[in-house]
Amino acid sequence: MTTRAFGFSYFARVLGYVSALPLALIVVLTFSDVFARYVFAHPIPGASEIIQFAMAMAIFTALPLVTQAGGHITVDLFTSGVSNRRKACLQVPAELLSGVALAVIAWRLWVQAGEYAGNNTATIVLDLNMAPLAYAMSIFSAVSVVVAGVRTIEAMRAVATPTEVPQ
Amino acid sequence: ETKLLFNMFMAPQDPFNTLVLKPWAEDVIKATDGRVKIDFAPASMASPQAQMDAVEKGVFDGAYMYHGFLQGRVKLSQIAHLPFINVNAKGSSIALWRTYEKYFADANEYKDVQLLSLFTFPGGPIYGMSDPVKSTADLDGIKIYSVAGNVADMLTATGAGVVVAPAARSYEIISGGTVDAFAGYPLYSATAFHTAQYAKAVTDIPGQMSAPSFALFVNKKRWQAISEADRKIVMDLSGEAFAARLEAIDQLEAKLRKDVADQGIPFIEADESLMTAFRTYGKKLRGDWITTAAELDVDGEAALKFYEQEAKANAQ
Amino acid sequence: MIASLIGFGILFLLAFAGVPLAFAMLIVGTIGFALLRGSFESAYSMLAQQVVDASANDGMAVLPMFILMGLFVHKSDLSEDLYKAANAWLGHLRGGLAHATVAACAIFAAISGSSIATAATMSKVAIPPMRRLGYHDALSCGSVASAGVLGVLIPPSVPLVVYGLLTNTDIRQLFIAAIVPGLMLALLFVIAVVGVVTLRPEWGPTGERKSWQERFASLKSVWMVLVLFVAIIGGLYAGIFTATESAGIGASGALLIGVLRRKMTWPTLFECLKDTARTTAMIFTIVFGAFVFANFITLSGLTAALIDMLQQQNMGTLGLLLMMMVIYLILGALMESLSLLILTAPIFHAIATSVGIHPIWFGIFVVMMIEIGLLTPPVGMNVFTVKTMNPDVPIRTIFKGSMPFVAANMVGVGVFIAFPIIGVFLLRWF
Ligand code: NA
Ligand code: NA
Repeated sequence: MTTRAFGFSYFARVLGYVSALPLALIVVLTFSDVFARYVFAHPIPGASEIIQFAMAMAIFTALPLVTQAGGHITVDLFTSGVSNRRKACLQVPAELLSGVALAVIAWRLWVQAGEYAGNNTATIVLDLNMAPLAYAMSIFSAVSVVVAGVRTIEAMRAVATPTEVPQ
Repeated sequence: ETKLLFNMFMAPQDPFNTLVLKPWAEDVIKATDGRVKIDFAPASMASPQAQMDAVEKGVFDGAYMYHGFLQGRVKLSQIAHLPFINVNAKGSSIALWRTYEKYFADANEYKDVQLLSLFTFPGGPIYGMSDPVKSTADLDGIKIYSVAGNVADMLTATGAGVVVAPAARSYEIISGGTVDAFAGYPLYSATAFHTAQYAKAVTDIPGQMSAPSFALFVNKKRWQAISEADRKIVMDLSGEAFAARLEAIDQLEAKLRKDVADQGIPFIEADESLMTAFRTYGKKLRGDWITTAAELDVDGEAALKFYEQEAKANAQ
Repeated sequence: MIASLIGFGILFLLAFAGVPLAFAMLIVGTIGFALLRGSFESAYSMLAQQVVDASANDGMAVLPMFILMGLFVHKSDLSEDLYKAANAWLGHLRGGLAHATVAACAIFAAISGSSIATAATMSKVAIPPMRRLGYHDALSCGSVASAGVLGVLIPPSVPLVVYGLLTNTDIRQLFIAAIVPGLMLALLFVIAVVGVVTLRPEWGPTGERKSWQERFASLKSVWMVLVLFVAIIGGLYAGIFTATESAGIGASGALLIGVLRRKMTWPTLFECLKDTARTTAMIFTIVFGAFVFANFITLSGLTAALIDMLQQQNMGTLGLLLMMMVIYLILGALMESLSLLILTAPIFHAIATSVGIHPIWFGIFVVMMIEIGLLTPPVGMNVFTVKTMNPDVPIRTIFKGSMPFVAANMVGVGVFIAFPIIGVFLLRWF
């Protein structure tokens, strides 16, 4: 239990750093692009394509972290006033469906990546291949599926032992 | 009865949709006595880049797609984007279809869908937003918006600072004055994207720098669901017949050019310095395309000559 | 048509049972699309394409950039200085500290795009002095929660960005158009405070009057806000940057302020970036769901049927807007605001523009309606935020204290509908 908790917090820290990088890149790139355009009258070629890739990476590297923290927005109107045990009972299907939805995303992104590879789909200016990006998005979604799975199991355990409610 | 759901990635009220695509669909319904019915989705269900994938997978049954987004898959039809070979939309559309039938069909580049037609829009001039762009000197050190592709490459070769973005996002860049000029699409598109109002001078390039070209296609399975007799009826209305419908866009373009001229916006032609710069780079683009064609066992030299001839002959 | 109603029914059932809204929309949208198209393969492909299109999209970068800017500003502790300055000028009036709260929120809103951030940051600095001076909790907490909504109407604004991205509306124009309605709402909030202290003078005592010297001295931190606001919004107006660039420049500028004020360390910087990535991932997951669900709704023919119905019933623009207001008041009471915006914007935008409503004006209208939901029970995110910062104040008191401002907000929407020019006249000069 403690090794697992340690393993995950270490992993979450690493993911945190990884998710910060693409955003830092976007800030630096937009700033330099404007600077280059006004000072040298030459924008950075393909800056928007790098930003496209960075956006996708920022979102998908942070997806497991959001899932782990239970950070996806819920309407939870009818679950806020009920007992912990009931809450846990509702949480099991909620976590399970989240996992299923994430699994479909991971699976279909993998299929999509294969098609990008087959069609040589690439960006126009820098000729960046879409396939590796889609594979990366798929892999981080798959990591989120694992996280959702762990949360489902924890919710099930909470149903069995009403004192322990995961948050 | 077969119902085909068509997607339009350009706005529903875009003149191409209202003047070309929808009248064609009505004619198809009429000619097949309603056995082939064409519906249009009220809002686009896929990005411009994903139209062919979406048709292939049956997200919707039919669509059109810009060849600029198909560079990895469809190499031969990129011929329409080469400089100095286009006159107007009707001529180029017919030329592209005939060249496809005569030279490209065997390469089978649209194998994942059923191709219905090919067409191009009128070529785009250079729109100066304060000063006219007439020579290479005028382009030196200025910022110019362009759609991605040959136009952007040719402008970059002259030394201009080129800002590249999809046409649908050009308004944001042009309206604010982020750039000093823009290029890459006809006046008809500039009007549709609300950027025409920022043009203070229009520079025509004889033979055009490029002309945006598109493919119209349907899902293969859905196509097979139509009886053979009806498929023939649909095909008779598509292909070259569809290409000829682009005349409506030429007429619109001519009217818009007249309106703009009436507002006192000057229409000028590029001078020799600019044309020389474009020709030098254009030669390279043509050479590259011919090499690509050769890899696909197509006599590019002959195809290019044929296209040019047909584009001129059918421009009227 | 029937399919979409069943779809909405199942969506709300799942969402209210605690399934994250993003996944509820994704599941219902995918299955509904598959059933209508008669093929799961088509629905799965649509899903994958929508996910890639929404995320690998440089236009969307404007969103994390504005979120990041808001976090940098938050960490810079500017709010305290802003509040002191507003207080020096307005504190001596009856209910003066509440007026100062509204003013400080309006100024803070000019560089922050989030209402929750505005309420949270103002909570820390504005509520303790009001409580010390004997302000009623309803007025102190209510004014902070309410004036926080100025954060999303006065540009920059994350909800306006989201609206623009979902409906392909120019973000630059949305920001320009929001300025006057935002200032109008701030003015209406001031009137609301006057109303409250007139009816209940004991709720809002007066503070001490500051000398002119102190007043001008208090402005020394306001200039930083002013410079940043002029840089980003002015840069947008003048066309120096696109929306994405102004957001990037804004984030860089806010970072610089943090460094100048010695509030920005490497760990803080990393923390801001990481939090932004998480918020971005959270919002985009809903966007994926919304795009998939919207395609199902498009395919079901609901949008087309509603447009037809509106044209046949001849209920006119006003009837349509009233209907939408009712929907926003009900759903806004029950739902978190950003997800409500993402769920409704694509569908309502298509309907509104089809009957000739100006898309920019409509975006402002939607955001004004969304704001009200931030303050209404049972789910009012701004009230929750203030409650979290002040655990000893009963939540009923904060909801009660927000009611005069909800009324002011409704008046604001009424004026905005009666005089639509408020939302578009600035556009004519740009
Ligand atoms: Na704001
Ligand atoms: Na509410």
